[in-house]
Amino acid sequence: MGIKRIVAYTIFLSSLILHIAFIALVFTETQPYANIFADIFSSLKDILGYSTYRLSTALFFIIDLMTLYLAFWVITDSDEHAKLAEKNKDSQSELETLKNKEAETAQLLLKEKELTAEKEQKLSEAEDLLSQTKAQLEEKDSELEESKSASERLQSETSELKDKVQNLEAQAETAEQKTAEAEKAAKAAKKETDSLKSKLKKSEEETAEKEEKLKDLLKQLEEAKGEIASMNANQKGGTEAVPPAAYQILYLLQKEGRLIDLLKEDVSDLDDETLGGAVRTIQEDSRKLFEDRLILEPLLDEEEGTTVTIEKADPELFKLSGKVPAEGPYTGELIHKGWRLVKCKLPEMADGWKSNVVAQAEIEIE
Amino acid sequence: MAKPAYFVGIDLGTTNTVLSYAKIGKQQKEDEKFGLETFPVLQELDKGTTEKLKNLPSFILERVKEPSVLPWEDNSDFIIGEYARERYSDVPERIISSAKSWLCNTKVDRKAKILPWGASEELKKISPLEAMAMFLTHLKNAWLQEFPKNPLEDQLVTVTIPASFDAAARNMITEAAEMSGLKSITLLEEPQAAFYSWIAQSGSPWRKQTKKGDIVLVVDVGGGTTDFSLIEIGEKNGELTLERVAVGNHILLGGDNMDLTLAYLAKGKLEAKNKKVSQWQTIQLGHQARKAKEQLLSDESKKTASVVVSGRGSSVIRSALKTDISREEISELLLEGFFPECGYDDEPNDEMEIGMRELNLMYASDPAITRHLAKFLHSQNSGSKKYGYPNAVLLNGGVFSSDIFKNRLMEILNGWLKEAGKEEARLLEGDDLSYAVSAGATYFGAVKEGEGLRIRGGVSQSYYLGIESALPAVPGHRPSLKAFCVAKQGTEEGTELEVPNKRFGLVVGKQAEFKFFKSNQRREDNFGDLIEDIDETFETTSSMIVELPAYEGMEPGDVIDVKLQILITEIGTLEVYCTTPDDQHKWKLEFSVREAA
Repeated sequence: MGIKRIVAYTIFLSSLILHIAFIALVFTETQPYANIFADIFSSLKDILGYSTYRLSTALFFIIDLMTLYLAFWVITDSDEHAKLAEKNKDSQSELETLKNKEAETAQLLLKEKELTAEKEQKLSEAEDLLSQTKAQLEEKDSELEESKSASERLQSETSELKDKVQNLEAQAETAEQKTAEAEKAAKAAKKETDSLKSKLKKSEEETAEKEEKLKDLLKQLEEAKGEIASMNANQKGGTEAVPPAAYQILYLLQKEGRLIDLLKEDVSDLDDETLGGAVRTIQEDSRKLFEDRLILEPLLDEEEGTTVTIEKADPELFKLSGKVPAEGPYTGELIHKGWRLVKCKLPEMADGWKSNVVAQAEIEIE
Repeated sequence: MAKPAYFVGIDLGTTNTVLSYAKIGKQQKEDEKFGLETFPVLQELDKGTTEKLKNLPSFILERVKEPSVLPWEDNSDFIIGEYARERYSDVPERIISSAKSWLCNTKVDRKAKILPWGASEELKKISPLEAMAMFLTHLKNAWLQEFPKNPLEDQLVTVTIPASFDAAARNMITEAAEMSGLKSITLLEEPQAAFYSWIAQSGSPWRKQTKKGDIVLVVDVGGGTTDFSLIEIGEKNGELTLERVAVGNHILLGGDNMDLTLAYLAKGKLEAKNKKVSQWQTIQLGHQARKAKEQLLSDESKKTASVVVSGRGSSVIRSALKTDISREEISELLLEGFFPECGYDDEPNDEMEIGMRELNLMYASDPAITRHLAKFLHSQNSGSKKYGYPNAVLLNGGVFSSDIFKNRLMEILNGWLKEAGKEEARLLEGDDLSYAVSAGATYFGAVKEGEGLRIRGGVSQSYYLGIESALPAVPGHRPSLKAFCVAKQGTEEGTELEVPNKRFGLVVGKQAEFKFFKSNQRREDNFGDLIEDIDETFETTSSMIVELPAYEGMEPGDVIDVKLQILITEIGTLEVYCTTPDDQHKWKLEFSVREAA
C-alpha cells in the first residue's frame, strides 16, 4: 500500500468522523458543544453579514463535499492501482521462472557436450587397448603351441605312469577282493553265531516257560492232590490232608468262641474262679456255633442211664461194651446217647479256602 | 415294565434291613395263608465267604483291601451287611451306621458326602441319601440272583418309613429308590405296616379282637427309633374300616440305647476296679451285657449274670475282664430309665443329659419312652374327638419280646386310662416282632391291589406354610409369621386341592425363604385356615430357600399374585404349586434337604 493511499484513507476517515461528530453534536444538542457551534455561527453571521455568511457557508459546504469526494476518489483509484501492480508482480515471477528454466537447459546442453567428448576419448582408448590385446594374443598363440608340444611329451610320460598305477591298482583290487571275501565269511559266521545265540535264548525262555508251566502244573497237581487228599480225608480221614471245612470250622470256633486260644493257653497257674469265669463265655459262644451252624442231634432219644434195646449191632451207630452176646437183640444201659451231625451250615467260600490260616494276626493302628 | 410276579415289602430299618415277599395271586381270601416269605439276602462275611441271611444289617464298611466276592459286585468300594456290622467295633471310622437317622437331621445337608460322620479326610465318604440307595441296590442285586426272570424293579415294592418322617425325608426315600433303579415304589409307615402284619395273621383274629369305635395305639420301638401311631376302627356299609388318625414325632431312641446303657454300666464297674476298657471292649461289653440282660429277663430265678469280655490277645483267659450285672440293675436302668412311671400329662424332660448321646445325630435327650408316649397321647385330645385314650395296643419291635417291658408299658398305660375313668386297653398279640414290618409291607402290596382291608391314612401330620403378615415395618423386628394350613392331617393320598378365594404374593427372581411347619396336635385346623399365632403346638420342619424364576414380563423381586395348589401324591409325598390367576405360569415349591442357616 502506497503512502498516497494511507494519506487519502486518513483524510477521508478523519473528515468523515468530523462530519458525523459535528452533525451528531449539533443535532443531538449535546451541551456545551451545540451551544458553542451556535455561538460561532451566530457570531459569524454578525461579523460577515447575513448574505455573505450564507454564501460562505454554501461555499464551505461545496469545498467540504469536494474534499470528501477527492479523498474517496484517491482511495478507489489507488485500490485499482494496487490490483494491477499485483498482477504485474505475478507475471514477472512467471517470467523469472521461465528464465531460470532456460538457464538450466543451457547448462544441461553444456554437460551433454562434455560427456560426448569424454565418450569419444574413451572410444579411442578402447581401440588402442584392442590393438594391444591382439598383439598379445598373437604372442600367446605361439607360446601355446610351444606348451602344446611340451604337454604332449608330458602326456606320454603320464600314460606310462598310469599304466604302472593300473597294474598296481589291479594288484590292490585282487587283494581287496580277497579281504572282502574273508569279511563276508566272517559275517556269515557271525550271523550263524547270532542265530545260534537267539535260538539258545529262545530255548532258554521256552525252558523257563516250561518250567513255569511245570510249576503251575505242579501247583495244580499239588492242589488237585490236596483236593483229592481232602476228598479222601472227607471220606477216610488221615494224616496228610485237611478238608477245607476243617479249616472253616476251626476258624469259626476261634472267631465266635475263641476256642483255639482257650485250648492253647497255659492255664496251670490260674485259679479256678478266673478260669471258670472266662470259660463260661467261651463255652456259651462256641455252643452258639453248634446251634446255628453245626447242627447236632442225639442218636438215641432215650435218657442216659435208662435201659435200651437194639435189634442189630451196627458198629457205625453203636459202641457195645461189657458182656456183649454173639447175636442180638442187645439190651443194656444207655451210657452216652451219641451225636450225629444233621446239618453243617457253613458260609459259602467264593474261591475256596486259600491258606492254612485259621485266625488272622490282628494289628490295631492308633 | 414286565408283569409283576411278587408283592415285596422292604423294612429299611435303622439297624437292620429286611425284605419279605409273597407270590401274587396266591392270596385271594383273608383267611387263607398269605404265602409270605422272608428273603435271605446274600451278603459278604469275612475270609471271602458269603452267606444268605434274613437280615441285611444296615451297616456300610469301606473295604480294607478285602476283595469283593459277591457275584454281582464290580469292585465296589463298600461292603454292606453282616461283615460291616461285625467290623463296627474294630474300624468304627470306616463304618456308616444309622444312615436312616441322618435323613431326618435338618442340621446337615443330607445330599452331601458326610458319612461316616467325623471320619478322616482321606477316607471315601457318601451322603445319607446314597447310603439308603446302596441298601436298596444291594437288595435289588441279591434279588436278581434268586429271581433272574423277575427283577425287583418290576415287582410291586413297598418300602417302610418311620411314621414321623417329614415330607422331605419321605421324598428322599423315593429319590434313593430311583437312584437304585426302583422307579416306582410305595411308601408305608412302619406302625401301619406292623398293624397290617397283625391283620394278615392267619385266622384273622383282628375281627374278634377289635370292634367299631376302637382306637388302637401302635408302639414300634425299633433299634434306633420309636414311633407311635393311632388307628381308628370305624364302620362303613356294614364293613369295618381302618383309619390312621395320628402319628408321633421323630424320636431317636430305641433298643440299641438299652444295650449301650448296659455296656456303660459294665464299663463303669470295671473301671471302678481300675481296669482299662478299650473302645473295642466297650462294644464287646455291649454284646455281653445284652446276653446277660436276656438271661436275667428270661430266668426269674437268676439274681445276677456275669459279663465277661475276653482278652484281645491270644491269652484269652488271663486278660479277660469280668464283672456282674444284677437283676436290680437291669430293672433300675432299663425299666426305670426307659419305661419309668409317669403321669398322663407329663412331658419328656428335654434338659436331661444322658451318657451315650452321640454328637450330631439328634438323639432324644429323654430316654423315657413312657414320657414320650404320654406327650403323644395327651396332645391328641384337642379336636372334637378325643383320640388320646386308646382301647387296644399293638406292640412291635424286638424290645417287646421281653415280657418285662411289655407288661410295664401296659401297666402304665392302663394306669392313665383308669385315672381318666376309661376301660383298660387290650393288648393285641402279634406273632413275629422282628419281621412284622416287612411282612406288613408285603401284605400292604396286596391290599393296595384291592385284596384286603386298607388303612386310610393320608397326610401324617398337618402342614403349614409360613406367611409373612403385611404389617408396618418396625426396625429390628421381622414381620411376624402366620401359619397357613396347606395340608390337614389325614388328607388322603392322590388329593389335589386349591385354596379358594385367596391370593398370595409370591416373590420371584430373587432368593426367598419358605418356612414350613407341621403339627400333630392341631386337629381342628382345616385346609386353608390362617393361624395368627405360631405357638409350641407347631414344629418347624424342612424349610426351603429357593429362587423362583421370573418369567417374561416380571422383574426380579416382583411380587406376583398367585393362587396355591396342593397335591398329596399317591406315594404319600406333599407338593405345593403356585399358579398365576390366569394359569399362565406355575412354580413348584420343593422341600429342601438343608435347613436354613
